[in-house]
Amino acid sequence: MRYSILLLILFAEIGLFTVIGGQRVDSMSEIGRYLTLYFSDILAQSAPVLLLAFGMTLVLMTAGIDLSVASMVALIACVMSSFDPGIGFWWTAVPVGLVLGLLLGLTNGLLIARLDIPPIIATLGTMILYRGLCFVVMGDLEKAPFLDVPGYEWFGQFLGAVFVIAMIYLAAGSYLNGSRWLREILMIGGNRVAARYAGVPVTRRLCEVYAVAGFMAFLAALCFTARNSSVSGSSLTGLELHVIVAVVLGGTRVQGGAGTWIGSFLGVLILSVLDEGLRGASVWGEKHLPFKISHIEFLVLGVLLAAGVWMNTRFQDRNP
Amino acid sequence: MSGLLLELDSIAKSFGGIAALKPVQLKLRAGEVLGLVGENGAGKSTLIKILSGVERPDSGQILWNGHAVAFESPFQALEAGIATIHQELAYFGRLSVAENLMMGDPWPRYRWGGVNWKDLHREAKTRLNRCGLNIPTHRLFNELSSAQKQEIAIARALSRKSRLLILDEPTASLSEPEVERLFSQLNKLRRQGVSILYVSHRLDEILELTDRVAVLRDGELVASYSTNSVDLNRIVKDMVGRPLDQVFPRNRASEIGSPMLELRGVSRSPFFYDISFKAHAGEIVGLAGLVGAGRSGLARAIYGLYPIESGKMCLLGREWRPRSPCEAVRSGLVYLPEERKRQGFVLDHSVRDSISIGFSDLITKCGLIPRRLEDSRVEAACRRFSIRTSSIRQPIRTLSGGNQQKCLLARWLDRDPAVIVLDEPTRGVDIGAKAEIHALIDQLAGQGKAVLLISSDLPEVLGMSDRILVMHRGRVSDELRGERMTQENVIMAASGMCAK
Repeated sequence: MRYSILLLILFAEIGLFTVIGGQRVDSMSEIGRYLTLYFSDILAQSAPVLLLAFGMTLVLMTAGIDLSVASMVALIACVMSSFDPGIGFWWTAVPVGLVLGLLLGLTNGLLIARLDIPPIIATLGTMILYRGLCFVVMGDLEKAPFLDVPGYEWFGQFLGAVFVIAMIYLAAGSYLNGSRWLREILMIGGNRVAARYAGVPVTRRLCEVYAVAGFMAFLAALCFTARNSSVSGSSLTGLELHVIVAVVLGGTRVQGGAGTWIGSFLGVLILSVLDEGLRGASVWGEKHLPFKISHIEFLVLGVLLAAGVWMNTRFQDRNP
Repeated sequence: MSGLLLELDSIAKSFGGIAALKPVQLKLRAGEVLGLVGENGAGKSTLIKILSGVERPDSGQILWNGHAVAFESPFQALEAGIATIHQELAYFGRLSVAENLMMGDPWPRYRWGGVNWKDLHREAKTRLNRCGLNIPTHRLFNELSSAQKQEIAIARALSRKSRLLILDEPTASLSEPEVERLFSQLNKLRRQGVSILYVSHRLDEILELTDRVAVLRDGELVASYSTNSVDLNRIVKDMVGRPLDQVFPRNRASEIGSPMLELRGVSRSPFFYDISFKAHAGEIVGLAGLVGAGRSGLARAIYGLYPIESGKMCLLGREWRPRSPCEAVRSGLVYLPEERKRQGFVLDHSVRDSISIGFSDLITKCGLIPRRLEDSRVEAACRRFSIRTSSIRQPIRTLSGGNQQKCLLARWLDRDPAVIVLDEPTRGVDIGAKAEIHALIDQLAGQGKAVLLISSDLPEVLGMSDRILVMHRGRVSDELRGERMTQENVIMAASGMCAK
């Protein structure tokens, strides 16, 4: 039910932007080729958000939220960019990025689970903190060592992006779906008191979830730097909002206790298509609209978030 | 004594077809202190609610000062001169004593509309002084002790020139000296001609304070006598009244095994102090007492929800200092919480998930739960516990209370725990399911598990247990075995009077 609505929105968007963008599609085979090209591009483009959305889904399942994801990606990318390019990058910068991601996530987890700070406040704090660290590490510079690393650009291309995404969404996702770990996470999100009474190690699980979000930030940093090739202290500002909107749109309840990765995946695609479409429609917009079309992006995001939350309460009783 | 202040004439009230109060007659003279006693569910709260205007009676009438009255709201009752101090004090914790005291009265104001705080505090102070209280009026309500809060509540009630003061379990959270102070306060009021309706579980207090005692049982006023001419045993007998007519299963062998759980001098203030007992294999130990006596607190400490402060616990012969329920469950000690909905389940989750959370860690392979094995185990559990559900994928919220309770039991039993702590296992459960749960508990003890049964249901705790520990104000006040296991003895010990 919910998936069909999401798919409907997705294809309506694509259709609309194809028409506005003036793309000429005449035959079925051409439509097919166009869509393939379109999706491979979108997928590679939105790989970082997709990865972050995976972690965010887990976090929302525990009735938490992680506002610091974009800052984490930026900080990991900044730290990695300070290493020398070359083949040695693979066994210096990349492991450092991985450990950093886990540590940053774990910090969030400890603040929330051990010190009992509400997730929204804890991660708001670390969002600002991690962003501040970005500037400490980078200053005003913009660094671009990534494309000089042999083999690194693979993560930014279609194949690499699809591989990473498939590993996460298909392999890890289906593993978790059958796992006791996810059951415990959902129980914590649905009723933390009951989870504790049922013998679930609540503190530990919460730390793990936020650490997973940190790991996803590391993977997202790989994909992002490989595609954009450069990073600065202010990279990816505001990306966490995209991630949260996408996940909520995908049917994960902010109150915790329920959620799916397929929904989050579709949610991210809807936002990416929108993003891409608005950019493509700018020429059309200049002719027909009194404002710049890229300026309405936040407006649309806001509407989508409200709509997503409404849909979640409306269809609460059924699983999507 | 002067004339009649209040008369209840055949007051009756029922909720959803169940009579909470059968036609009740009650008289109260001016300046009289009447104690109202009865077991849980005897109708005391309903009576108070009717008198204080919260509920309206279905039939009968209230004569107040000789006139028939019908209170439409608590405010009207208050206006008429009936002040009620409920068990849970409804006050504003973040406001000052003066503000709380004056709430609902017109406040002194300047001409431009602002509050004249100086006058407000002065007025509050005079009101407190009139009651012989000396509490700084600038203090926040939250900073006061429970006794002071109570005193403020009484002072507030009296500032309205109330002629009847209703107190519902006023001493539930007070310490001994605080109780003394409350009593001297109440005695002062009595001399001023205020009538008091004093509702309490604590019979010692009733005997000390009241002029007359009325006993409610199952919604009926069964007895009423002047306090001077009655003794404790008579009151207790009237409270209990009915013989034990329920039949409890007992198919287990009567011999008991080795000690499974042992407590020696375990304390955690302010919940429980110096608790010592042993629970043996194959034994059901009942834990009786009033609500708030510290039974649930003790159970939670044994389960690892919070640490104990002193003393020693042993589980299966080894020292037991659990840091979390997780550790308790793995070591073979499980706990069924008293509030199913809040502490037991995620109500949206399926019956299967709710049950298998208790044992699926035993069957996981590489972290994965084998679906088929899980389903068959859950289905087997549903059959064994006769949990009535159309599908194990049904949300747990759609089940009746009794079935939910059985799910909670089913959750743990695949683990084969050594010690089971049950906290009010049949509260809010219909009679049929109750009998099934009793049979299950008996069966568990028969399998050699040690069962700790916390229950406020007297017949249940008497019928099921091999022996009973009665708690009073955080301490074990009596241990009953064999012939001493009677309702009278439990009530005596629970209200703090040991009948040796």
